[in-house]
Amino acid sequence: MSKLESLSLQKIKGASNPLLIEFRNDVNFTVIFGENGTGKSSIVDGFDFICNESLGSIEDKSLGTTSKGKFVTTLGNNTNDLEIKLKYSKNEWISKYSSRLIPATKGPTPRPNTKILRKEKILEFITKKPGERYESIKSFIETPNCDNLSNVVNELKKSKENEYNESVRALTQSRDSLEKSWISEGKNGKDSISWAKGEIKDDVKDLVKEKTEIKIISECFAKIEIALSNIETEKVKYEESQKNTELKLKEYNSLLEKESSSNDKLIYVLQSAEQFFESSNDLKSCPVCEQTIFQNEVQERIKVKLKSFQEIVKSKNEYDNLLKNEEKQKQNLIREQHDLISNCIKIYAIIKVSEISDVKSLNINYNEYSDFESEKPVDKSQYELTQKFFNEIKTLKDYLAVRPDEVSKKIDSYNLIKSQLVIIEEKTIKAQELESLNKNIKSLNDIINNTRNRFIERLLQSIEADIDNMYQKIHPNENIGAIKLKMDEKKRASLDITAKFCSKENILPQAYYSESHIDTLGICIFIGLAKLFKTEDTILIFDDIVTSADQIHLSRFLKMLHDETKHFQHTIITTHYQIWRDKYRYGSGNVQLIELMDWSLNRGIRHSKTKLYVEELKNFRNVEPMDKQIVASKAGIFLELILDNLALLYRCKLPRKYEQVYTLGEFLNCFSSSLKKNMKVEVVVNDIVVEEFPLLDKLKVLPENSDIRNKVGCHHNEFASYSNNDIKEMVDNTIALSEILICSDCGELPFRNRSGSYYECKCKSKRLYPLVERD
Amino acid sequence: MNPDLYLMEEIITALKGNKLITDEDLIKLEDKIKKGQLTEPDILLYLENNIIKDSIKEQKK
Repeated sequence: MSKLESLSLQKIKGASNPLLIEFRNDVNFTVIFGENGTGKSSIVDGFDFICNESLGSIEDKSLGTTSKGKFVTTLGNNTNDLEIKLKYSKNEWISKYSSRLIPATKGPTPRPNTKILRKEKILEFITKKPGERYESIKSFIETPNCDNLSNVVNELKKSKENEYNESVRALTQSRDSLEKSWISEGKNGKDSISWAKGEIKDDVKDLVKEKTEIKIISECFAKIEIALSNIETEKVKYEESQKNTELKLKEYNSLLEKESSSNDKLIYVLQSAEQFFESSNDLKSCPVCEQTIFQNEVQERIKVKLKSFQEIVKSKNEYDNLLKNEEKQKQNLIREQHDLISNCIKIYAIIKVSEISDVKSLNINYNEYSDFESEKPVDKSQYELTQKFFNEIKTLKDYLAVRPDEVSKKIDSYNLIKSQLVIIEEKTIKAQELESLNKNIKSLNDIINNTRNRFIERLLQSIEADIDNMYQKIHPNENIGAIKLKMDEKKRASLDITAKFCSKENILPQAYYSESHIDTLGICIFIGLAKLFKTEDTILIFDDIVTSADQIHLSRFLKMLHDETKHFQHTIITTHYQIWRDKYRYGSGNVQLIELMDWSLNRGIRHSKTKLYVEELKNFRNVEPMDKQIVASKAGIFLELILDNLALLYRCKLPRKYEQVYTLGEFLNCFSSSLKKNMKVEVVVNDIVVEEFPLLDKLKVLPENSDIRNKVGCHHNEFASYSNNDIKEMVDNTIALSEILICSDCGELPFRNRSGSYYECKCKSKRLYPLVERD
Repeated sequence: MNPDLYLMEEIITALKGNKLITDEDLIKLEDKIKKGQLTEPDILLYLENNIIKDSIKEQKK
């Protein structure tokens, strides 16, 4: 009993129309026969798609950058229309494309374990390079978790190797940079590293301190020079203002002398009185003598009096302004002197404790300048002291002009060497860490790969005898075989296959064996592996293999295959060999033969046992208005199929042709009168014949009074030129004939010879007579 | 037979005989290894922790 029930294909490769393949449950070996291009590989790809979620035969083909999934869908159809259904052991799986055009199957877990061998894969087992051969075998031995682990470690190995290379490159760059510095500094020491270490042995604390002191002294020097220059200017301005004030005072005093009735005090009193009256209203008496006065009159008299002193007042005002200006100039001068003093004090504070040799060599007696440390106000003596001090430190100017650059250069050089050394040290550690890590990742990778290789080798060795046993069944007494599968210890992941040829052992089969011997060897290896990893749900599929074997080897091969099918749930083999079809076509009880018909994009994949064909024909027949072209074409194909099968069953005579394509006329004329007279179909219920249909009249399918009958040589595609009525009659007759012949329960033609008296269908509901054509 | 399971067992056995990952860490990782779920960070963590840093430390000494 086979658990495989059915496979339905829709819009996958050649299946442009829905295709249902129902598998017999009483046999576990199915042969799918079809000429080239009839859809055999599409069916196999359907199994691959739903069971293995693989794109099948297209997977290894180069199709540019476009997603391969697109090409698995029937030409001109949307990828969403692709659907595959599998019924197995009362469970159903449905497979479609995921959004990323990857096959996605829904249904119970696990799916049937389906192993597929295609013609091109056989060669991979034998003739490819040992490494590729190993990959081919390895992919057959499903170890997804190990593959995942191996991939992770491999990826890690690659990325860390890149990281290590990058790290070494950066280290080399840093070393080169230090080397250049070493060379430019005169190549002192045994190498750049020891030189650099020597260079940074002493720190640059003193240099940094000197740099800071230089900076402050330089700033103070600049300020002092500005102050000295300003002092000279301010001094001139101050002396000039003093001179102007003095001259104006003389002028004022002379005016006062000229005006005897006045003096500066009177003018002051009058000006004050004027201001007093301007701020008072309606004053009736004098605030001094308290006599009655008229305010307006008094104010008028004050103004007149002051007017007589106008020149004196003006001179007085000018004098006052000059006096103010003199004071301002004085303050400016004092401020500049302060600047000078304060900057000198700053320098004093630094150089007194400085370790700078140029400063020490000044030999300044700091006791003389102890006033710089007191907080007393600036006076003339301090200013003079400052000037003296500044004269003493003036010689530092040369030092300040040269030294800052030297100090900065030394500090920069120190920092550069130090940073280069730090970088080299860091990168060396990083490179060492990565080197060590890579070593361990490599070890891990080696452990995984070596374990896997040894494991696979053991597995392969365990099936050597079995492979050889199968191979001897196909090639008995041919002095070949003794297959050895061995991993090459010197190479990673490399599989050698050796065999016997003309009594010589350990030869390379690909060098000495014929193509058919290589084919059969590859198949035996495949079956051996499949047996090793089989489950109770393993389906074995061979897609158009063994194309090069002669008939004797083919028969032995089929016998061997029959022996091996017992190890698997179901075995399917597709072939375009007529010999195979003929072998299984009639009466072989333990094989299901499915014959594929001519394929076209319009019709899709069709097989001889498809019930759909009758139903489809009826549907097209009943559509109004009827599409004459389609209906005529479909009826013609169907009629040819039925007549072809009957002709083969009764071994009727047909003209010999290069291409075995016959017209309806040739088919209709190939049945002898006596055969037609004796042909009948019985309908059986519970082993009792309930109805009987002679076929003599039923075989007169073409309309009697139609021109079609005269066109005995016509082919179905010529029907379209006839009238609707003629076509309808022909179609109805075809449907009637098919309904009589084809069992409505099992969908089979009654072509099985089990009784020895008649043919019957799978469910024994229909019987066909006679068994053979009588003279 | 399930070749994956057998193979993973053999890999773990091979790792146990090696000092690459300590037996203690291997116990922690065993389940992940068997399920093929070991990630790069896992590998780095155990390889670096157990081998690399120690050897670098020794070198530095």
